[in-house]
Amino acid sequence: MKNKIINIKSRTSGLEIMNQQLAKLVEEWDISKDVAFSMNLALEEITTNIINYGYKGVQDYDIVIRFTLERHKLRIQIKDGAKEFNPFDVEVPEDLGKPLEERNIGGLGIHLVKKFTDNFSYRRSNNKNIVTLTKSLE
Amino acid sequence: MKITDIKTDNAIILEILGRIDAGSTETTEKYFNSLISVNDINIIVDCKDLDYINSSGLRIFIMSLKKQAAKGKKLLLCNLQKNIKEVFVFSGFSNLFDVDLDLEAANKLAS
Repeated sequence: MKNKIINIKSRTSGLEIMNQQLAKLVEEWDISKDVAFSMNLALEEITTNIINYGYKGVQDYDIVIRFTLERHKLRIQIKDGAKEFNPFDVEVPEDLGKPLEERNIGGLGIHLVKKFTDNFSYRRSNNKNIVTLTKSLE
Repeated sequence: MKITDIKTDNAIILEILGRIDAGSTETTEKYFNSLISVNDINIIVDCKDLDYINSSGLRIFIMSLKKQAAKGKKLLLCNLQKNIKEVFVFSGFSNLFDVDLDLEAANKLAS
């Protein structure tokens, strides 16, 4: 099992550092292109959600991300100190089939997280929000 | 991420190279906004070298499609890589965009 923990700030440059770090791990840990794509997408959607809704756009808060390579899967844990918020409680947009003008594209990011990961979970512990995402290495 | 564009008789053909991610959505959005505001023409986005997109990137395409539709013009995507295609399908946006076009088919639709 391999681990890597990074700490980013709640701003765009933090997300860029996160993406670069993931790209580096993908190479070091020899992760497939498809798994890398899925987990990068899920990770970006969760952290963007934390920044926009949890931290309400304030740029100086911390997000701690732990990448774990297990035998058959990649696990990513994302921890933030914002108020209690379960991103998976957000309603899946039911209007996916509706005409363009009637659509609300708000919950789209979380919808994609659910589609692109094998498992997703949320828990609240020690005043932190903890989201865990896993994807089989195939 | 890098965007290049070529103007033909019937359309502007864009090529997006790289990733539309947290670091490049703002640039991409500005590019599309300014392109659409100064041109009144069909737009084809060749995605053969587009390796990644997130939901913010999807929103740029949706907003651009709305703006184009309001002018009676098209926004067509072509040569989508497998993962990008899945993002469109899972989002339910494959009924707004034909995700199976190649450049030749897109050109035909734009002419």
